[in-house]
Amino acid sequence: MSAGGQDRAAARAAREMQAISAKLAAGATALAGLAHDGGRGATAKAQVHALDGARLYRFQGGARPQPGLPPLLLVYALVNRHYMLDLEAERSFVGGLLEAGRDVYLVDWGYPGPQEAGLGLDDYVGRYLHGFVTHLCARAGCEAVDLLGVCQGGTLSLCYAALEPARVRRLALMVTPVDFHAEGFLLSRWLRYVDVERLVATLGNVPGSMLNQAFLALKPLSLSGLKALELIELLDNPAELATFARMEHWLQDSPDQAGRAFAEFVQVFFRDNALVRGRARIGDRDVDLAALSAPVLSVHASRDHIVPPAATAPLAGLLRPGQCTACAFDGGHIGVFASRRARRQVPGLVCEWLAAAARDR
Amino acid sequence: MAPPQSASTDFPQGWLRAQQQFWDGWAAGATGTESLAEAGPAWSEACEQWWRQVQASVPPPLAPHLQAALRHTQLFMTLAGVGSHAAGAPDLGETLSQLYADTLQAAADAHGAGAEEQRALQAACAALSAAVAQIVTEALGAVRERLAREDAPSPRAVFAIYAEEIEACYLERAGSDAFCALVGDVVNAQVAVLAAARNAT
Repeated sequence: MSAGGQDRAAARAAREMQAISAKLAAGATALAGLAHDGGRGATAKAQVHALDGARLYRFQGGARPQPGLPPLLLVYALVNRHYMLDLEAERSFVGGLLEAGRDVYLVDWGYPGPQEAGLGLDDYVGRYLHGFVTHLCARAGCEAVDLLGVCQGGTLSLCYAALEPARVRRLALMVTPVDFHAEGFLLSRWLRYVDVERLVATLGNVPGSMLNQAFLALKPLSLSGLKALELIELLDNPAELATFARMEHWLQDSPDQAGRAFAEFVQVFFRDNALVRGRARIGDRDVDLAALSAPVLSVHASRDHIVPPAATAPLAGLLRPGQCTACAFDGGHIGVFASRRARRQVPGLVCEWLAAAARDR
Repeated sequence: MAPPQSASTDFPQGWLRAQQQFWDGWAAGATGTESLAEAGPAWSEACEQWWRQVQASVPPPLAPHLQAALRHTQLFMTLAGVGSHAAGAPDLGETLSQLYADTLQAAADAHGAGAEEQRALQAACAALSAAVAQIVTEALGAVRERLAREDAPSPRAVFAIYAEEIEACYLERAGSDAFCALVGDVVNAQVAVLAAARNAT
């Protein structure tokens, strides 16, 4: 570098370090006043049913539900917690669904403890999900609900809709993996080298911290150093700082996974890629996607580093022609639910599709 | 160069004034990016002062990220001088390896149970760390190419270039059979240690 270049670099470095110092100084004040309120979601909700440790909630305070539409049941993944869909009011995916006039319910899978290690996928799908859907149908006086599955919860919802087609009127899948052997599905590649059976036999349940470690390793520098430096930029903005804290609380709030269900999920989906190969089984029942009668919406995130778009795309080819509508959101796996832009775009899009599908009946 | 001083009774204003003065003085005396490394100890001390003052009020979910942020600003001092030279970027490799620190801690927590399993775990972690270090080394060529195209990049911009190029290389390799096997070996060895510890109690 020339002498002039060195001088410019030194001046720029000094200015940058002074700017960082100013952010840190402002952060000292902002951090002292920061409310720690993560972990509960922004929208009020009431428990309406429970099956063992699983809970069914109804969200409150939305617009008057549109007449003629059944309850909309959100099925989150077993991994992490559902309140990412409702992190804060300005970013709430749930809030957007309520504003669109839907009567919104949520399955909360809870925190499996040692006594839940023996729960299998048949318990989650056949007992809990089916139990909640049946309860909702009785409560609302309808034959079927609308189901919205998120990530792994979408995979489980897809299986449920194939096993109980009469109970699902419309199925919306968000960032839902279907082809677990798709190019770029790094998590799937790694898992196939892990002795999951021994892991579960040793630990009973799979620690949430172990899963977090794997998620972090997918983009290690973006999710550690670069993210930490972004935090410095937020230190003089209490509102953004609070959002960052809520998101971090959510990321670190990672339930253990019921051992048997985890091992089954790995075997059926990650190893056998059984949905694509047409031989998925939940408990003792075959999952036949040809039996699925509901129209399906599949929303993927174009920059999803956890479930790459290639893992969601093959669904259309597994269903009847025209049965599946695919839709892309320009963002990441979490951003499709928790960004302000997503809040403006995604819930409305999903509700429009659900309503249009209703009119097409 | 003397580290900047600030009185805790005048925090954060006094601390900020000290930093502004320090960096003004540093820029006036600096002749190149290499000298940024000389500011390293002073900046480390400033970071420690700041953390001591704020840590009690930091919400738990933010604490690890703020500490990481401070560490990474200190890394600026190292990387700025590395860009035009042949030296590596071992600290970024360490960041990657740190991901597996929990695994090594699990081995340490096993209280001597399953000595053979612990050795196997340490070997698996070492093999993975070596693979990561190799990725970092291989990425440095791309880092230098990009730095050569930049006109006097700021320390943070230098860091971002390092991180982007190394992570891009990491993502290319992380799906290979060889790397997947290394990841699997670490997790499987970790489970073996935990199983041995459980059997011993």
